[in-house]
Amino acid sequence: MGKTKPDVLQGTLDLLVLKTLARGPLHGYGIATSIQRISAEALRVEEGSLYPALHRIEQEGWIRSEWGVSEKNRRARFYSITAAGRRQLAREQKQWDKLTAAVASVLRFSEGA
Amino acid sequence: MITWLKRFWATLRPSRLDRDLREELRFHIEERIEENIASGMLPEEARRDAESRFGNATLLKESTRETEILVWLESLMQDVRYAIRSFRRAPAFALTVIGTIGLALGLNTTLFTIFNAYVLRPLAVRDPYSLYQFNWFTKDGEFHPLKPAEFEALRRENPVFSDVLASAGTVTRAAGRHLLVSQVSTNAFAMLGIDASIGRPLLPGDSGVLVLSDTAWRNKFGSDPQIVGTKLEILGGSFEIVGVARPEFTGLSDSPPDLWIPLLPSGPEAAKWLMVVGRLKPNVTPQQAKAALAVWARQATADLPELDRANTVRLESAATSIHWNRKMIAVFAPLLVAFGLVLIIACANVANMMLARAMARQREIGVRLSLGAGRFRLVRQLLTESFLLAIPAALAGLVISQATIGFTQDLLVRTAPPFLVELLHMVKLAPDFRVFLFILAAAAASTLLSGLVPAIQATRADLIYAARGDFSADIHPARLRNALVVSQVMVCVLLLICSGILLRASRKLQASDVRLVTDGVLEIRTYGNLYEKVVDRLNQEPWIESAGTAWRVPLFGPLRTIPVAPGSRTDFMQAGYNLVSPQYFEMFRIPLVRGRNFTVAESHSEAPVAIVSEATAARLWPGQDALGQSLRIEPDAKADAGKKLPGFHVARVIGIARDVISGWVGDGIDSTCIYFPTAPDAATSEALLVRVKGEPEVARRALDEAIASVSTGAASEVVPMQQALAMQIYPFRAASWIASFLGGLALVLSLSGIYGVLSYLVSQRTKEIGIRMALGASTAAVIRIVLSQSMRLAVVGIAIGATLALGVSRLFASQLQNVDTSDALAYIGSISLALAAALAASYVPSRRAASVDPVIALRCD
Repeated sequence: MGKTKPDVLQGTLDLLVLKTLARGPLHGYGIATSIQRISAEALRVEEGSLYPALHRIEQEGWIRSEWGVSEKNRRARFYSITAAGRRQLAREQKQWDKLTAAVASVLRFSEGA
Repeated sequence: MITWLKRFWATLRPSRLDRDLREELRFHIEERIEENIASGMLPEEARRDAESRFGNATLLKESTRETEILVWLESLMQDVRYAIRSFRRAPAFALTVIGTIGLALGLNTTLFTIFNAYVLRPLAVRDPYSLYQFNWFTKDGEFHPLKPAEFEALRRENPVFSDVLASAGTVTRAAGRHLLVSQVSTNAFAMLGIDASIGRPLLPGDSGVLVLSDTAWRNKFGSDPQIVGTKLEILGGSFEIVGVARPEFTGLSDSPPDLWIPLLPSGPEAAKWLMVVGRLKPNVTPQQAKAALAVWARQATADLPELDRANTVRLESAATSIHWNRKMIAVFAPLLVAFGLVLIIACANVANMMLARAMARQREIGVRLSLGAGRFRLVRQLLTESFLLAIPAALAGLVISQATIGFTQDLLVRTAPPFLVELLHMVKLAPDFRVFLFILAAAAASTLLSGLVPAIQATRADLIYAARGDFSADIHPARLRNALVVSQVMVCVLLLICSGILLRASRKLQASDVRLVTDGVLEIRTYGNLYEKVVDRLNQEPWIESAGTAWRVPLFGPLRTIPVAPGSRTDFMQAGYNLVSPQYFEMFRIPLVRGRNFTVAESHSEAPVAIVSEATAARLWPGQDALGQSLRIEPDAKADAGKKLPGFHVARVIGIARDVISGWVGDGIDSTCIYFPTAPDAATSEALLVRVKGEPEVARRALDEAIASVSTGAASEVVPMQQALAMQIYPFRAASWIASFLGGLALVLSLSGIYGVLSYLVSQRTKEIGIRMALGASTAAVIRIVLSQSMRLAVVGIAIGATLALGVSRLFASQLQNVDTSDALAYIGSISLALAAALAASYVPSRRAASVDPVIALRCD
């Protein structure tokens, strides 16, 4: 079923999670659907790896979690970004920009050749 | 699909973290299902999709949890489950380990239970840790227990105790059996906070009453609930039973008494020496108390002759039956070492088995290592297996120790001389929390000991070899295994030699001829003032062959000594002596080789005559005729209470008696023994001696009656002299039994250890053996390979063990003068036994090696 859609690139999950949370607190399911929706279904978060990633990022201190109530009035765990997380997001975004620019220039070079 | 989910939920344990995670995941899945349904999927399909999006659920669980500390506990549970699974696959292995460790643990727990009961467990009295026993030493280091007057003075004047009690032990006889009596000051029960379970305890001001111990009430008085108010004729008087002490109170000493009476103020049974125990005032430290008591004791004894004055004082905790001091260590250390060694070889055996098992699992371990499993994790997993075995092993040990204690007590009652059994009560040996702690700690330590080294060894494999399952290149489990076998053989030989020495010593003692014909002779202890009447009465009885007295009954301890010198010389030497009535020689069938016996007149007047033993004659008058010589006794020979000296300083030797053993059997023939005369009914004598016709046990009853007819309750001891001898030998017999048992066990353990190692070795070298055989090696040559392997290990072990035994025996030689610690037969016997065992253990593996079929051996792999 989702096999045709590319999984989130290794190492970019943190970036996507932080970026998503920068817009406001969300629960895990919300994070997954939000990434999928915004990328117009182009990116699919492997849900099995989302929660381990969330726990890991939380351990790093970039996000924090607390129990709250979802839109549908159900108990859900909400994640929000911390100040350290915002700094990390800025760093990762810069690195990502550098990387994509580099990849793009390589691709352009090959096309030109 | 749904099964993995079920398993998924089931394996989640109900910790807070788990609940959180589970709830979070459930929320996620439910949200997804709802959305799927909203987008038009069927419910079942929607769920399947929601679940499948999680991908590998196990991975999810693992990696999520890994971030938490709880993961440690998690993987521990995994290890446990894994271990249990592997034990289920190899139950024989698990049972052997549990049995081996359990047996050795059980024995050690038995020892610890006894040690605990006497040395560690506080007495069941109020605030035992403030109780201190007090006495002093004189200038020449002589132990001085307090005399009654000194106790009274201490009670009045002492600066440090809030209360002081005194006690003394006495033996008495009632209804044909001996009773151990504890005379105590009447404040004792109140001071110790002891109540009675029936009736009342002793109270201040009591006299002529007694309180029974619970054990005596049950075992000797038939648990009679109506016992309070009845009278007991003991100690030459009549005592009313006023109560039965609570079961947990067994007295203050290491030998629980049958009953307590108030201290007798006067009379023959009044205690001369007291054990004094005080309760320290709350604000006084033992050091302060000791200093204050030292001052007090020196003052209290300032008027005495210098040698009798208090010099130093001793203040020892009386919280336990036996105070833990150097003497106790000396007694317990050899036992502790011997039992500990058995535990160690049991551990070596198990370590060997674990090692073989770990090696057999090398391929599995290698694969896991190369898949990235941490070495620590693997070691931990192997250790988990060991610890899991520790719990059932501890349980088995507890059961075995209880059985052993029961068996030992039973054996003691059956084999010990009856007099000893009647009077030697043991404190209660019930296991308590200290015993449980011990067995748990010991079980954990021994399984750790047997599990750790193999675990480290097994996981040391080089990855490349390991994954191939080939380990010969890198690790040396053989070295470890050899070391284990060598140490087993070593301990086994050590224990065997010790038991051999003790066995031979005990045999020698049993076979030693004391030259006193004790059969038919009984010693009677009653009151000196009754001797005359009792002897008169007994002399009328037709079943009495003769009746007399001795100041010291032979075979109850070493001879007392006195400084003597031949004739006019003044170079005095210490010589053993005794005062006996003329019947003594005939009673014990001691022939007078020369001269004559004491006359009746000489014995009544305690005339200045002496009969010396042959050895004494040769020592004092070498090369001369001792008969008719005069014997000088040092004029100022120090008199102490309980020592009777002849009333003259020069005696004429009138007879020479054959050498006998009258002290410790182990000391052999008396090196010197001088007999002085005393009356057959001398009140100063320790005991009456009678030779009866017929069965001593029958005579004993008749003797009880005869004494009771003179004065009720007057007999305190009626013991056949045979038992005196048996009591001397018994400790050696018991020690040799324990040593043989331990030695035998060590032998069996070593046997199985060698067997295990060689079997493993043969199975490991099957291919090599096959090649050798294919190349023309004979069966004999193959057997030789296996045997030489085992013999090499055995010989090294034996050599070290025998050397150690030599060292150990040197250590104890000073304490065991009667034991030939370099008994060649014991050494040779033990060494041959160990060698034979090693050979026997290698027989089956060597046959197996010989039956290797080269074709099959080469084809496998």
